[in-house]
Amino acid sequence: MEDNNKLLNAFDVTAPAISVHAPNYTHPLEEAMIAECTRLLAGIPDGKRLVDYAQTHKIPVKAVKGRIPNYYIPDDKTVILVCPANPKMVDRYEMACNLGLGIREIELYNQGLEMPPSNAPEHVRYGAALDKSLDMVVFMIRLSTQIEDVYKTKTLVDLIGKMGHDELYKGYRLGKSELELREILKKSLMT
Amino acid sequence: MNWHRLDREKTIDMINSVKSAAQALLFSPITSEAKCARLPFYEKHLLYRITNYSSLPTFNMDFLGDGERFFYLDGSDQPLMEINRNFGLILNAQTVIPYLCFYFFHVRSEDGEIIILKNPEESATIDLFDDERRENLTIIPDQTKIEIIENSLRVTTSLYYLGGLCEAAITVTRDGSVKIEPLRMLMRDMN
Repeated sequence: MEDNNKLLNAFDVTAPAISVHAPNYTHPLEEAMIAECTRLLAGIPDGKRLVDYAQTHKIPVKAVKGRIPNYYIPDDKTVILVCPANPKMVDRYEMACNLGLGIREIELYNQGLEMPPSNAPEHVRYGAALDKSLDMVVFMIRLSTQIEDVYKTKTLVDLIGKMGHDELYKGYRLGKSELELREILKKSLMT
Repeated sequence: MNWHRLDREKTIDMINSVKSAAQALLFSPITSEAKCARLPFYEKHLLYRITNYSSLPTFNMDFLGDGERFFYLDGSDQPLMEINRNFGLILNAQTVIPYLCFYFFHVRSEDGEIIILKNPEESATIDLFDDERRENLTIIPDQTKIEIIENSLRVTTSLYYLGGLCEAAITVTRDGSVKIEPLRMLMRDMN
């Protein structure tokens, strides 16, 4: 009887619907891409720590097709890599960095970072976004410089330049403190 | 883009239509909003955007849809081609530039980013372009030539292409395929 109820519940019309026409989001090279990003990330000091952290905390990683390389944390627990379907348009170091940033973001949530709800006043959301951005951008520079040093590639450093974070990159290379780097970033966001 | 925000009920309906079993966690009706915009080159299909506000920065997913069935814009030209083939593309001198702007924004090319410029001088500010400018469909280039050649439209205009400024002839066939022929480079390596 209980089993029958379970079966009926599975067809409950009040359950969240899933469309038969829903697009297929999964990246065609999901498995290979996640494996390669993990391998590259594990080859740099901060990346190795993050890969170990993800394994210890069993953080799920998925990959979906998307217009531009990116990452997305939908539920504070899962990293979703977003990546064009055509592998020729994807830089593997950029995707490895995205994986590292995704794991780092979950680490921040696990350490107690709380984001305001979507209905919070705009200034509260903006303040929280700025604080998080400061941490994440500085961390992106750390990962990028390590990738540059270990893999001898300028791809990510060029990307940092395009994002307008040249000064931050130079500051990091000069050994400035985290506080000084935050000040550089704040200034660049205000200009 | 002239966006129209969907009410709660329609947002939930849309999310249920695009939610796949494999990637259900991509969408949360509680923290997401949906909006749509009319496109001058499609009769029945609108551009839909779901924004998830639970992540900071917010995360967008774009679709083409007729209100019932939605095609995920995944960075390839496949969803556009499918709609063009099955539902038709309104292609004429008034719609060809908006179509090209839309195409270049949503379809990732191996040639990198491509943007139709209002004039060559605009290329000096390309680093300051945000997504709003990049997906602006109402750009009217100062100097442009539109010709009907056999079954296609040929647009000659200023283009940001291959990391530089060029004058290019862009051919759009009746099924919406796009081919670029650079005529002369006006400025190289702008980024």
